[in-house]
Amino acid sequence: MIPRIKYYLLLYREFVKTCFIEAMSFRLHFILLIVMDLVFYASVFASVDIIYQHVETIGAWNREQLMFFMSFMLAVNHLQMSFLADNYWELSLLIRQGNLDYLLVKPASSLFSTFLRRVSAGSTTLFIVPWSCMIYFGSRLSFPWIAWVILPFLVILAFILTGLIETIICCSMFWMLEGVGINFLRMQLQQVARWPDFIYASFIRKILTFIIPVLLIYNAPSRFLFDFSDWLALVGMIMAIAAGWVILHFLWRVCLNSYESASS
Amino acid sequence: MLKWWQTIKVHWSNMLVYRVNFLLMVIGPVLVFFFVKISLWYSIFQGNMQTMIGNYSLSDMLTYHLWTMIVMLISRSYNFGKLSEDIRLGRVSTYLIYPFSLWEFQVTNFLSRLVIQLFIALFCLLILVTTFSQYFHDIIAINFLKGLMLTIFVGIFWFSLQYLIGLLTFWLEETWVLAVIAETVIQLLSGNIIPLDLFPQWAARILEYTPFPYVTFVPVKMIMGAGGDFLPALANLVFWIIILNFIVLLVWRKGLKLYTGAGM
Repeated sequence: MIPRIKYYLLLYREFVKTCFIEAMSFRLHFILLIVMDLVFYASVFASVDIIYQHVETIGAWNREQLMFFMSFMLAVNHLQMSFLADNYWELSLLIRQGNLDYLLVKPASSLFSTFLRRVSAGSTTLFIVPWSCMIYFGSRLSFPWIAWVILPFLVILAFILTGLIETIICCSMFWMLEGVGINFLRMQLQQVARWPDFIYASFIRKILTFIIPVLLIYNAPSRFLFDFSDWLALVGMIMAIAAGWVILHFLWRVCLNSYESASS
Repeated sequence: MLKWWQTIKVHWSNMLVYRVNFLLMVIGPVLVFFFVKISLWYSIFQGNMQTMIGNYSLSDMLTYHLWTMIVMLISRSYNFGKLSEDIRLGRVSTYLIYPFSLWEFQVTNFLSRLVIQLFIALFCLLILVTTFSQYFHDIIAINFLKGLMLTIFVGIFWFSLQYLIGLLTFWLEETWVLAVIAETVIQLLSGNIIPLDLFPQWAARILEYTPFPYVTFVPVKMIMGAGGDFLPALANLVFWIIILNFIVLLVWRKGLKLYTGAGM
C-alpha cells in the first residue's frame, strides 16, 4: 500500500511540475488567472456586504457568519479551481479527439490520470486570501481552539465531496458529442451550493441535500463549526463521500466501456 | 444580402446540432442564476410582503429579478471562444481572402443567436406572465418596448465586448480568463444581483460614469416604468458601443500585423 501511495505522489509531483513549467511560459495568462480569482473573491464579499448594509440577518445568520461561510466556500473553490477544474474542461476534448487513449494505456489509474493531471498554477498561489478571510471571520465568531484544529480537515472533506459530485457529472460527457454544456451545468450546481441551504424552499433543499448533495458541501461544515451539536449534516456529508466514491468507480467502468476511442 | 441570410441559416443549424449543449449553455445559467437570486431575496425579506429594503418590497424585488432574467436571456453573447480559436488555429486566414469578412461572419453569428434568444426569452416571458401574473400587472406596453429596444442594444454591447476579448488572442494564449473577469465584474456592477439603488451612494455615483448600469439596471427599470428618460439611456449605451467598436478596430488593425497564420 505505502509503495503505491509513494508511486502516485511521485507521479503527481511530475504533473504539478509540468503544469508550472507550462504556466511560466505564458506569464500574462498566469497573472490574469490570479486577477480573475481576486475579482471573484472581491465580488462575493462585496455582494454580501452590500446586502448586510440593509438587513441585520439573512435567515438566522448575521454578517460574520455568512462572511465565514463565503470564505469557507472560497477556500474549497480555490482547491477545486487549482487541482480539478482544468481537467473537467479538457475531458470533453480528450473524449472527442480520442486522446483519452494515451491516458488509458499509462501504468496508473485512469481516473487519477484523467482528473488529476492538470493543475492550474495561477490559482494555486492564491490560497492565502480565502484562508486569511476564514481566520479573520472565524476569530470574529470566537471559534474555540478545537474548531481551528478541525477546520483544515473540513475544507478537505468539502473539497473531496465537490470533486466527487463534479467528476460524476462530467462522466456524462462520454455520451455527449460536446461537453461544454456539461461544464456549464457543473458550474450552475456550484452557483446553487454557494449560498446557505436555508434560502431554498424545503422541497428543493431536500433534493439538493439527499439526491445531488451539493448543499452539504459548504453548509454541513459551516453549521458544525458554528454549533458543534449540529453534527448530523456532517455525518451525512461523510456518507455522501462514501457513496460518491462507490458510484464514481462504478460509473467510470461504464464510461470506459462506452468510450469509442475516436483516434483508434 | 443573400450571403448574410445564408450565413445566418448556417449558424442556426450549427447552434441547434447540439441542442442539449445549447440549452445548457444559454438557458441553463440564466435560469439557475434567477432561481438562486429569487431564493436569496425571498429569504432576505423572510417572505414578508410588507418589509421594505431601500425602495423595494419583496414583490418589487421579485419583479426586478424576473425582468433581469429576460434581459439576460436576450442579451448574453458567447462569441469570444470561437473567435479566439479561429485566431489561434490560423483559421482567420480564410476570412482575409473571402468576400465575407471575419467581422461580418461574427455579426451574422450574433444576429442568428439574438433571434433564437429573443424567441426563448419571449417564450419564458409568456410562461412567467401566466404563472406569476401578480408581478406583471402594472407593466405598460410602451415601457416594455423601450426596455426591449435597450436590451437589444445591450446585446450589441455584449457582442462588441466579447469580440474585443476574442481579438486579444493576437497577444494572449487564452482569453477565456478575460471573459470571466468581465462577466464577474459586470454581473455585480450592472445590478444583476443587487439593484444599483441599494449600493452605497458613493459607489452608485461612480457607476453612473461607467457603462455597467446600462447593461442590466437601466433596461430593467425602463420596463418597470422607473427608468427615467429613454433617449438619454439609449444615447449612453450607443456611446459605449461606439467606444468599444473603436477599440475593436484599433485592436484588429494592430493584431493583424502580429498574425502569423498558424497552420498555413
